[in-house]
Amino acid sequence: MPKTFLSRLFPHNLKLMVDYNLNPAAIDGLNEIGSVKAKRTTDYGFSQGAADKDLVYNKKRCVLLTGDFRSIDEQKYPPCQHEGIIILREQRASPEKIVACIKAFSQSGYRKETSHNVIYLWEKKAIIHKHFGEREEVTL
Amino acid sequence: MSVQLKPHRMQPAKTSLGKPTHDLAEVYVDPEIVADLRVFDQGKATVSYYKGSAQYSQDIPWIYADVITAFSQPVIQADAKEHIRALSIRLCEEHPAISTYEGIFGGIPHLNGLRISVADILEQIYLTGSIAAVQKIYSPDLSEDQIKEAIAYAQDFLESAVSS
Repeated sequence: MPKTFLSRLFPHNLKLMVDYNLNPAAIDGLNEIGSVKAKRTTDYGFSQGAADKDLVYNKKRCVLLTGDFRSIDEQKYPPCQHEGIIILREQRASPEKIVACIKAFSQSGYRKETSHNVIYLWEKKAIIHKHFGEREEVTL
Repeated sequence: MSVQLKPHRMQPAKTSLGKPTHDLAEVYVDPEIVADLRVFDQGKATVSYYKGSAQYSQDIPWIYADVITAFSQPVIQADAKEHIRALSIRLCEEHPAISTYEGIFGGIPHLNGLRISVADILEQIYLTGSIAAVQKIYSPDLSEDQIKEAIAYAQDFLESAVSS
C-alpha cells in the first residue's frame, strides 16, 4: 500500500498486547520496530492465568498477539467483535523470529488491517480474516 | 451393535468404484462408538467400534465400506478428538500441576493458573536447550518443578495415546 500525505502525518501505531506464553524477550525487539507499541498481558493488569476471552475482548484497545492458533481463531472470535488478533503461525518461534514476523507485517502496508480483524501471520505471508467472512492472503 | 445394515429403498446410486448399490444396503453408523474402518483390497472391510470399554470388529462387504467411508470419516476424527480430550483430562489427575480448564487455551493442557501450555514448555526447551533457561524466561512465575511436571505429563500423554 502506498503512503499518503495523511498516513505520513498520522502514522498508525500498532498497539500490541503480547500473550503471556510468548517469550517476553521479544517485547523489547517489537518496541524497537518503531511503529509498534508492545506490552505483555500482565503489564495491562491481566493475571498470568487470564482467560482467552478476557484477552481477546480487552478494553485496552489493544490487538492481541498470540501463538495460540489451536484455540483462538476467526470462528470462535469473529472479526468486528474485538480490537484485533494476530496469531503467530510460525512453529517454535524464537524472540528474533517473532520480531521479524511483526516487523515484516508492520512494514508491509497492511498494518491498518489489524483493527478488528483476525490475522494469521508467518514471516513471509499473512492471511487476514475480515468482516463478513472476507479473507485476504498477502505476501510480506 | 453400532452398525446397522438395511435394504436400500432409494434410487440406485453408484459408488466410487462404479458399481450400483441398489441391491445392497444403506448403512447407519453410530457416531459415538465407531473407532476405525479398514478397507481391504480383496473387496472386504472391517469396521471396529467401542461398546463400553470393549472394542469389537465386524467384517462387512466392500460395498458397505464404501458407503461407510463417506459417512464415517468425520465421525472417526471426532471420536479420536474426544478420546484424546478424555485422556488429557484423565492425566491431569496424575499431574495436579497441569490443568485443562477450558477458559485458557480452549482447554489445551497448561500449567495450573498460568497461560503457559505444556507445548509451550517443550517449545522453549527446544529453543533454549535447558530447564534453567526456560525458568529464567518466565521468572518468577514458573518453578523448576512445574517445568518437570509438564515434561512428565507430555511423556505420559504420548505413551498413553500410542498404547491405547
